[in-house]
Amino acid sequence: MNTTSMKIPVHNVLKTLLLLAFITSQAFAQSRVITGTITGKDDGQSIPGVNIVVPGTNQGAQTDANGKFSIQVPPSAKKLAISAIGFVTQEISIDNRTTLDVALSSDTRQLSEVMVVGYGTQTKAEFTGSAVRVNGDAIKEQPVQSFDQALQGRAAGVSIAQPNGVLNNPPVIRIRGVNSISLSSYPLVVVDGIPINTGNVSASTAVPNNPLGDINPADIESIDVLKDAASTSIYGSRAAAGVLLITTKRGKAGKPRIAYETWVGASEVVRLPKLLNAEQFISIKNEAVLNAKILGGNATNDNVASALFFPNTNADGSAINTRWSDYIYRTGVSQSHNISVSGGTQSTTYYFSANYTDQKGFLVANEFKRKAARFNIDQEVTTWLKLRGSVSYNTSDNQSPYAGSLPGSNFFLVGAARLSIALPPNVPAYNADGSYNISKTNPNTIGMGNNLVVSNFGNPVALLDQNRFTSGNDRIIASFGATAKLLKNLDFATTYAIDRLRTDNVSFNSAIQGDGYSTKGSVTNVSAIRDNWNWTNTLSYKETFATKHAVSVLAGYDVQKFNNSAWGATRTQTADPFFDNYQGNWGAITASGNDLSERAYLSFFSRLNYDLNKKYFVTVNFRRDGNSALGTGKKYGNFGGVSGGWALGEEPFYKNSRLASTLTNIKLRASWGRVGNGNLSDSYSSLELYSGSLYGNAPTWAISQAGNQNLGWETSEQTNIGADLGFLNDRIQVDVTYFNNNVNGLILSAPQAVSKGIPGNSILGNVGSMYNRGIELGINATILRKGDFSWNAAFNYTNLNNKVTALADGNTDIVGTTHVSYETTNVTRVGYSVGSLYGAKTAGVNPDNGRRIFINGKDEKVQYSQVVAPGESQWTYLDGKTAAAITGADYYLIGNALPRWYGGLVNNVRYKNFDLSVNLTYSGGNLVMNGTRATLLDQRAYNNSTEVLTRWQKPGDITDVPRLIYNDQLSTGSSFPVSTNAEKADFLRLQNASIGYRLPTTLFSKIGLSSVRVYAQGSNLFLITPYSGTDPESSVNGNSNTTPGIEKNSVGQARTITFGLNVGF
Amino acid sequence: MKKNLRLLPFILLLTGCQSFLDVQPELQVDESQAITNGSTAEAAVNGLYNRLGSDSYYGSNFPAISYLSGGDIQWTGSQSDPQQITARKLTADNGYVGSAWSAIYKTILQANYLLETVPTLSDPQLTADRKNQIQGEAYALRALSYFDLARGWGGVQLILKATHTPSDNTGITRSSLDDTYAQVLKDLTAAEPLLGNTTNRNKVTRKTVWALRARYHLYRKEWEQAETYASKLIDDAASYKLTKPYNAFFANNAVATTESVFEIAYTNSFKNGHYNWWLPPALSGRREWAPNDKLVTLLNDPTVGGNRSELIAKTVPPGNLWYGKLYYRTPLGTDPAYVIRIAELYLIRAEARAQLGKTTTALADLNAVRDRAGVALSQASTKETLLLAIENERQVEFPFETDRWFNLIRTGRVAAVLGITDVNKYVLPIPNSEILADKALTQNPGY
Repeated sequence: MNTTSMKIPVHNVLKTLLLLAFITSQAFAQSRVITGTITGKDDGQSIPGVNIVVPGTNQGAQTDANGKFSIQVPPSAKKLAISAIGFVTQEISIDNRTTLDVALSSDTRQLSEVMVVGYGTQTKAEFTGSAVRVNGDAIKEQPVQSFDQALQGRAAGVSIAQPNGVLNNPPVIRIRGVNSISLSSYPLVVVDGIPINTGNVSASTAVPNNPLGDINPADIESIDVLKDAASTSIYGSRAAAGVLLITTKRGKAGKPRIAYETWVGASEVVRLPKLLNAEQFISIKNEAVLNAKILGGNATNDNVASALFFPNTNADGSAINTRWSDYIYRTGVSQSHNISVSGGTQSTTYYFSANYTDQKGFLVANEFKRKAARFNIDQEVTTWLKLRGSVSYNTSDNQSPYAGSLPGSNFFLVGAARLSIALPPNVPAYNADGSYNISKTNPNTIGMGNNLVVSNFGNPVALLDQNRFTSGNDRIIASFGATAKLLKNLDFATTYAIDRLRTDNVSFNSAIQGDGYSTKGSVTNVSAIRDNWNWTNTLSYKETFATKHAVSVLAGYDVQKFNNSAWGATRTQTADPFFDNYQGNWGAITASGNDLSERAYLSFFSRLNYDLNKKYFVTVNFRRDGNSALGTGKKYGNFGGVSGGWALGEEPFYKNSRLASTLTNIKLRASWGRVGNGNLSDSYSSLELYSGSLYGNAPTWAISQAGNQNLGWETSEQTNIGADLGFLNDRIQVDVTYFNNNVNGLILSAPQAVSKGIPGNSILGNVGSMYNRGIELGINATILRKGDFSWNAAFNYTNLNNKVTALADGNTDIVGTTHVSYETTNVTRVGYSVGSLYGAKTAGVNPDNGRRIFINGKDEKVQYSQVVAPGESQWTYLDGKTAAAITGADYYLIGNALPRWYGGLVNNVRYKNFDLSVNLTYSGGNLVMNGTRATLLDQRAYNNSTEVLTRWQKPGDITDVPRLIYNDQLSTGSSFPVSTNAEKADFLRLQNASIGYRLPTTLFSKIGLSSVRVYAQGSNLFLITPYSGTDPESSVNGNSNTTPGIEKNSVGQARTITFGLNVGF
Repeated sequence: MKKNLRLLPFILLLTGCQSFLDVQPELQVDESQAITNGSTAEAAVNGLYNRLGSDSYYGSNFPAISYLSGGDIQWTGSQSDPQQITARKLTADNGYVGSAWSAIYKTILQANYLLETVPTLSDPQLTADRKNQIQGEAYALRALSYFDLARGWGGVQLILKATHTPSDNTGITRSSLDDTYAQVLKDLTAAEPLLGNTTNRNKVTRKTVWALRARYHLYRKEWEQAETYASKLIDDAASYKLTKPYNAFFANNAVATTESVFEIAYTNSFKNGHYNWWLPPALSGRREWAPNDKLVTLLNDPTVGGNRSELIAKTVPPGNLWYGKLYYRTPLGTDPAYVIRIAELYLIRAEARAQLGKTTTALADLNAVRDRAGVALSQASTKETLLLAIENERQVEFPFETDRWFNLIRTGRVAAVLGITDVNKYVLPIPNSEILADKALTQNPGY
């Protein structure tokens, strides 16, 4: 069934078409006419430009804009061959028919695919670098806020993790691992040619704001992920962490196509820890109180309490047993609507879309809304001049309470995830009169009722009701481009693009509860403009010499400027609780969130492609990059790459070999390149700066940053060796690649002696080295294709090894902290992977006395008891002699925090009008610090997980939960990380599964609909993991390179079920 | 030809943008342009006070280390750093100790910049007197910084030049305690003639240097000089006198009263962090620590605390919790930080005189302070009873300032008063971060 034709280069097809069009215009006598419509099997949409020929003759025709064709066929004709780019060619018997409607299947073979590469396109056959394409259809139905969240498990070498379940949080994207220590490891994202702002643009640690959420996922045609230096080096210094090239949908000639796509869904929280109920809580906490009394030598001292926790009752006398998670989590209902119109004539095509989405998270008061519109137009002005324009306007608004899940927030007392597990279950959320249960003596904390202790925590109901944190964007991304054919084979292309992102952040903290209590209410508004423009000009030349030497050359330059400006103010001391807006009446005001910075990039680049007979391919890239953030004299860097390919499968000797019948296609490729990284988070990092402040009311100047004029590029030298293999007529395609990425000149904060007095006690320098080495494997297979049934599977696997080989100044360890400076959770050390877990080594619980045993820096066992009799030491050796306390000097490297292997398996099954898709993702080989377990076993007034029931109670008990002693936060890891909480993070997740049904056309064609599809799908449907916490992908440090793998007091990913409807008109 | 014309715009596009990458910050200024003339030098010397008053130095951490260690303050909050200090179970990881150390050296760096740059400036607006004044302030505050390091940590490394590049000021080992104190005296001596003989309670003048010298000589047990320098201020009654009653120097939003020799000024934009730790939640603080029962009793005892009971107050029922209210103002954080008050100079002179056997005048100085507090005059007549009375007076005179712990260490009375016998604990640990980053440095024994 699968035959030839798709290896023909595109321009040859065009020529053939023209020729055929000419020929068909000459009618033949006695022939008959066959008419019909060609549609796509997957979506039922008509296909224009399909080539219809009578095999063995030179007679042919083409479908028009509505997919209709009419062809003259000679009487002898038995069959028609129908082919179109991107579809499997079919031969259909015509018998005596005069009408013929054919549905074409999509071609799963990728060699004909066009790859979007930097500043241009290449076919997959010509492409010798390493890249993956993800089709927009794969992501548009996913209940995500930004497209990057939907890429999980879809591309080899690309690891995407959701650090938490707060809406529109930027995922952690790592293309071939962590490629820097201090600079961003987030890939460059280029939308229709313009590199856009990424990261998190929120000014608050409550609500995230991923600016990629401003791209309507339904507008995306394709995402090309460039991974190796040969592909990315055209982007030079911007591309050290890989590149995501986003192409938005554009119109196709033909009658207008209208598509309406919608879904509704519901999200829920999953895998919540099992907590003690009120009765268990009282008994466990009082056991700890009593133990403290006894161990303190006060067993007979009536002045020391034996119990501090007591039941509270409802008005009806029943005992209060509050499940705080019921107040903090909910079923979040979401909906999304997208409508698009596209079409055009041969010279003008357009695509217009509008999008509305309103997604409510499983966390109360977490809601993301987006309204977006896009207009893309392509105009052929003359035979030599083409114009293209795109405008997208978007407003998004995200609201979230403090979940304690964003970087720098997990220890906040207002973090909802922590409150849901740590609050005592024996006190109510509301008083009997309906008011919030708030302590009368410490009015910023929860009322503890009959318990004789004070809680540090607030009342989450009040926090969620009263306080408000939002971050919303207004954004225009627009581009205007022209392509001019200057001379034969010489094209000039220019693109001017703007990306103007205005972000408004509002944080309102009421005077009632939370961070606004101490200031009698506070509201902070911060408005930021990120204005980014980009102008790219290229000349490209393409020629084939002597029919076999195909050469294409590209040269151009690219300038880009980022102007960031933010300003804001905080007002405090509310005049009246009525005011919850900045514009209200407040007593005091201070400036807040001010920023003003510029960044400029100026680059010249070129690329040479050469191939001989489509068998031998060479690509050479060169780019000279300028980046204003680097030191004087170090602003420019030269980068480039070379790649080569050999289409061994095209060689006659191979084609004749026996192997060729099984391994039908084989292409070998290799590349080497050097890319840079100058993505400093601060535009002025190289400078030695003074900044102003006040002394009293007098202005001051004081040194604020120690600079380094020699601050230059981080460079990575990347080697890539791989093969593309096609088995059984490309029914199985295998893509295997080895890569080695040596990163040198890592920009690190070289720790400086504190006594030098330098702000931050460090100076940036190019001082470190590391490598990422690994193997990627991608397999695409058509497992079955029989009649109406087809089953395609795509599997990918990446094995990755990261190792740091040099660090600053005598290879000093870099200790990474989580939220607060004393929570030293990670270490970056030579010989190990970046950001390994770090903490105190534990050796279980002493069965004799229930004390936690630690291993100190001298490899000695010491044990700890929170309370000891007067004159005794909390820290002792096992024989009871006094020992020194465990401190930072005793911490050790617990283990690797970066996944060593990861990937995904996507299955697509079709049967008649049904389609089924199952996407599994997996990852592992790393540890995650289950810091939440420390909270769950904390012996302050916190509630505990049911694991505490396995505590040590009597000599001989073997357990990992030490003897409970009130106020003990050290033994289980709340004071500093302990190794017993580090757990394996291996997992297999059913990321996504969907089932769809395309209604038969006959049902609705009369009312003007051309296709209707309904589907149901679920995300995060199951998770198989040895990890005992909520989610092994969680990371409270988000995109940080040096502090991965820390989960503490955060919310995991949602489980979302959606129902959708796609209608085509 | 027509086709060639199409090339033209492209050629035009290639015209250069040479300075495109030369982007300069607008919120900060490069060091080379920072201290260039009179007004920027004045701003930079204000920057020195800003450093001195930062949260980690006099803004709260450094005084807190002293009074939390002194046995009169209880830890009532949730943070482990102040708990360690209060329980005197300090480790080298303690954040308060680490940030205070770091903030003091940042102050020293700013002083070093000024001392290096200001003499080189040529600006007619910057008169020789002003140049001298600025350098004098830099010397004096560097002296105060090293004095605080010496009394906190013992002998430290002496950084006397500005740090510009990573290789500057490396490999400097710790000086002895005597050498550290010698540097303090050297800087104070250098500062004295450069400064004007004026009164300014928010900035350093020659008089401030005298006050600091009086304290220095007391710590060095150089009694005659302590007496001499204390007298220079006490005798200047037009400028410095004990405000009466006690709370007149801080209550009702008072600032820069005659009581103050040197206090650090704060505004809503540059805050004193103390309020947050002292005030109860109802008054917008955290009450992370509070006066303990012993101190509450002393302050409320009319024969001991007198009207110094105004330093404390009780939260409303049903809480009834005592809290310190030296730092209390609205807007929050606008309380001054008291570096040295005239009361201290009276007590310095009293002690110096007692040591010199001048018991009568010593008693008079002591009773000046007691009289102001509204307590009965002391009848102590021997050196020993006087010294004890002075020690007790300091306890209730400066309970929330930088005194109690350092005072007991200085007099060697810490073992007797607080029962701390491990002499290793009489100095603070060098922060771990400093030890890790600086191979030339050695930890204090016992940490």
